[in-house]
Amino acid sequence: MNIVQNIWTRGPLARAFLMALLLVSVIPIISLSLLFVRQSTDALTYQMQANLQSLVQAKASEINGRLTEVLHTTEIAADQVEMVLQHEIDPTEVEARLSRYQPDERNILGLDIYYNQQGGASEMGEGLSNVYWDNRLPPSSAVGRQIVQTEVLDPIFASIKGVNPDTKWIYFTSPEGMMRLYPWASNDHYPTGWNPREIIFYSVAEPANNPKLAPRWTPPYVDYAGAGWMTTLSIPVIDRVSGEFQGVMSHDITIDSLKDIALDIHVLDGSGYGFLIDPQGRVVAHPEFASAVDAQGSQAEVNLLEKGSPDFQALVQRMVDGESGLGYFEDESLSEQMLVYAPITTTGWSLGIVVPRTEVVAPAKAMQTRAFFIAAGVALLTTLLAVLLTHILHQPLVRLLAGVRLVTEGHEVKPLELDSFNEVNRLADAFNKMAAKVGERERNLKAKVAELKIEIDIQRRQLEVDSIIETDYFKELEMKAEGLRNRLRLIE
Amino acid sequence: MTKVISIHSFRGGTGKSNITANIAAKLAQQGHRVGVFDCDIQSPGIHVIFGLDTNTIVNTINDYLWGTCQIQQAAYQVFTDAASGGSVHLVPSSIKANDIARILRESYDANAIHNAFRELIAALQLDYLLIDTHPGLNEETLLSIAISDVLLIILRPDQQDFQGTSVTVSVAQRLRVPDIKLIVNKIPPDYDVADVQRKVEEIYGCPIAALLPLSLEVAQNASSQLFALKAPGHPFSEGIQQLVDQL
Repeated sequence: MNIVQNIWTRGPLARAFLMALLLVSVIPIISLSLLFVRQSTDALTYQMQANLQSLVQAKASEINGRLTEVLHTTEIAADQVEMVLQHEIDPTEVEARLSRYQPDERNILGLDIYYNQQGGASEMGEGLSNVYWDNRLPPSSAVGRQIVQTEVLDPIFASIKGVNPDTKWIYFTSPEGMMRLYPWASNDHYPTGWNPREIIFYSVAEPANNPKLAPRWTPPYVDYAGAGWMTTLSIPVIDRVSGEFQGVMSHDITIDSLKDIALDIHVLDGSGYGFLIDPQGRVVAHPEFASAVDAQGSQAEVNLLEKGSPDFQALVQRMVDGESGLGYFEDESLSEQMLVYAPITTTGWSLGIVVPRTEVVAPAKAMQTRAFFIAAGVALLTTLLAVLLTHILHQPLVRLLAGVRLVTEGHEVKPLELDSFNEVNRLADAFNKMAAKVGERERNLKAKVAELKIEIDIQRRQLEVDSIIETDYFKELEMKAEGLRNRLRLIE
Repeated sequence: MTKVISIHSFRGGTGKSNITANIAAKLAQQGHRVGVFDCDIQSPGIHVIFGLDTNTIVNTINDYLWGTCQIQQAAYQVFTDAASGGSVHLVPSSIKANDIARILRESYDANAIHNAFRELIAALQLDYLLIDTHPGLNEETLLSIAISDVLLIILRPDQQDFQGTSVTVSVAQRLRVPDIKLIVNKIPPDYDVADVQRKVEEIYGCPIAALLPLSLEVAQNASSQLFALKAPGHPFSEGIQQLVDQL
């Protein structure tokens, strides 16, 4: 500190030199550091955004792949149904095989009683299906034929279920209301008077509601048979020759594993999360909005288009529109969040990942902090070096200046010490030689003064004094002098 | 009680007016009321050191001697020190060539000068009266010396000054001036001042009031401003201060 103060207060040239050193070193270091930090932080932030977009795309692809597999196998099942219904069976055989289908106490026709007579469905092994028919109206011959024709679908349905681990039920429903369900489930689960044609898995795909005859996914719902949250893929079965509608092939899958894909998304420090919404913006999976599972058949009720800030709702609308991208919004605690999203094209759902913006920019911030300390350290080091360099140059000049002052004031000076032979010390060497010569001259001059004499010509002085004091004026003045002085002194 | 101080040198060019002006200013800085008479009627110049514009000079000591003005009408306040309240009042001599020629031609009554001193002291209630005398020893100068409480004789370390100063000292001693001091001015740097002081005091039998160096800075500035105030740390200024402390 003393060095800096000394340079600052006592050396304008050293001060200018120090300032120049600082200008050409510290300022460029700080400027370049700021530029580097800015570019690096932007690149890091972009990289984080790109990584999150890649993650959401990958997760959406995983979900989509699972659903596509369901779609393909269900299409196969629908083709098989269409072929089976073309197969002619002898009426005698139809009647014989229908004998196994008996109405229960609620007058629902199915295989429950038959399986019980055989020792119970559970004892009969896998690969069994069941039929539901509201027997208040006994089955027509066409319905009876459908029941018998669809018996051969059991191995196919079993195969499909084996391929798809999420498959819960796979079933065909005819326009008359006959439903064949695989695997077997007791008809006791259905309420009295239940009509499958009134249920969404049928209505969503029937031509009246599906003129393009496309595969249709139902909104998530709670399963009637107690299997939890599910969605159903329904495909209309059309006679390829006549174009006649022959029923709906439905495939129920539990979506718990699909939800888990979304809910298991944890990014960065773990505060990020994933969520799924259906094409209407309703929550399929969301860690904050647990869907109610109160009633069988109830659907997801939380709609994100009605939640959060306008910015958030605008982003959800883009998700509903099937877009992919990213955007920012403020949550309820006014904390800024980033949302990256990608569509699940099979079902029209959309997968989103929410991450706090602070975590997105955290690596960039960390790098900024490191860069700041490094730049500050380098700047400090450079400043110290500049001060030291200035001091090294300044100090000999100060000693030189002090020596010059001593010589100027006529004092003898000791020769300045020369620890190396640089430019400044060469100047000091020249000074030493000059000081030595000046000192020698001073000594010579002093010796000369000692010889100086003051000579008064006494005789001449007396003559001159006499010429003055012999005058009348002086004599009169001599007499009056004291009086005159006293008169002046006494003036008030 | 007013102290009357004459500043004299046997020869011209000794720096008499410059030293007189600086003594006056230093005394004023101590809070004194100081009067300065420019009695170097033949070659006046002290007004320049005080920065007195010649265009503002209406009356001079010449006019007083010719009876055309009162002495206080010829006195100009040329320096004041706000902090101490001291001031310097200068009575200049005319610098007009015809006035100088007239005073030399017609001469004047030396006693009139004495009256001027008295009247100025009384009118301005002076603490000090400094008389910047004419070099040499004419009647007016002898009168100034005779009435002084203190006589400051300025000399240079020069053989002619040594001789002339010895005459002045002898005359002043004859007039029984109470306090005679010597000022050695313009001492070259190659002189040993201690040796100068010892020899001068030994030769003249008078104390040295100040030993002032020959200085380029003083030569460049002294004739146009009060150097002791401008550069108080300069050896010349320190010598003036040392001198004033003895008054």
